[in-house]
Amino acid sequence: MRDSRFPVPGHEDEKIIIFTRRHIISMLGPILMVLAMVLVPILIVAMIYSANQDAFSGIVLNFLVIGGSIYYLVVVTFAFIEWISYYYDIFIVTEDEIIDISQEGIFDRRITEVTLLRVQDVSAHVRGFWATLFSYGDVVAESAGENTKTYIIDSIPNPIAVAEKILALHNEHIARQASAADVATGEGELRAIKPCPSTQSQSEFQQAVQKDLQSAQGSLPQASASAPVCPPCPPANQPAVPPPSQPAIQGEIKNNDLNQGGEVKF
Amino acid sequence: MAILLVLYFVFLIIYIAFNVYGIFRIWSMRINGDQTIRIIILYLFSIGIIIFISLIAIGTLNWSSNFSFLGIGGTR
Repeated sequence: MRDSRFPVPGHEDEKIIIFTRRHIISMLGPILMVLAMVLVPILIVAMIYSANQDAFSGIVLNFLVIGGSIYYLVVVTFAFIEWISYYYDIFIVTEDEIIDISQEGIFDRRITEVTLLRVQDVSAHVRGFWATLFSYGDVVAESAGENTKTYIIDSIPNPIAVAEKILALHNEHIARQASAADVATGEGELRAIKPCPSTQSQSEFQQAVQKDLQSAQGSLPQASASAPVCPPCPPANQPAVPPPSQPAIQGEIKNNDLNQGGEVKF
Repeated sequence: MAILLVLYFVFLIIYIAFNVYGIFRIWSMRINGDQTIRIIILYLFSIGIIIFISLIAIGTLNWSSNFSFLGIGGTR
């Protein structure tokens, strides 16, 4: 049995940006309830005993001991389950996803995941005096697409900051996706142009392409500026420099044909 | 009154089995750097205190009487 791990299996390697639980003030109700459940029976018994000292004699005392023991065992378990429901009710934002773990007792656990790309709208609600005083509230995230869903994360601290951070991460994610798409397009363009054997060997050209792609993942504009350029290849039986009248290869490159080196349409 | 004791111990067995399974489930949910182990120790300590006090009280009481006051039968 593993001692500890990331809350959601399969996400162990993801970088956590936000990790939060419900605000502790949301536990005020259960805490007061447990205190009442502990103290009220003691007060009732004390009042009855002070009024009539023979009230708890004989068999009544036997019932009181057994009943009290069972009652307080149930109360302790209730408090423990409330704590588990609070402590494992977690809201996580990673670089790629929003993960909402909803824990209800020991045996009810629901994990909702939505990618940041699908997030369409994020809003924060701080309602009421206590929520404003202690700076907690709800974050509502809506997903895009045909099956639009609304995810409500209840009573988390600093909901406005969390909502802003989610939107910023969403925009960063979109920028990364666009950058990756540009890199893929660039890869297709580079593969579409075959290296010229007379001026540069094919292996050297492939190494230059790989180096360019690696640098392009970090910064696309820099990679584009330093992208290796190989001149169009002449036919084998012709000189390396084509005559001026021969047209250069031009056309559209499809991204989904990158593995075949790109398709060129005239 | 002995039936009351039997019922109590049956309850204790079921209660302990429930808690063992519940703690096993919670253990499998643990996350890095959590406080679960402390809370579980505190929880088990509380249960132990309640059962210990209950057993001491049960040991001091007379369990040979019956339910005659409820009209079930027998005499006290």
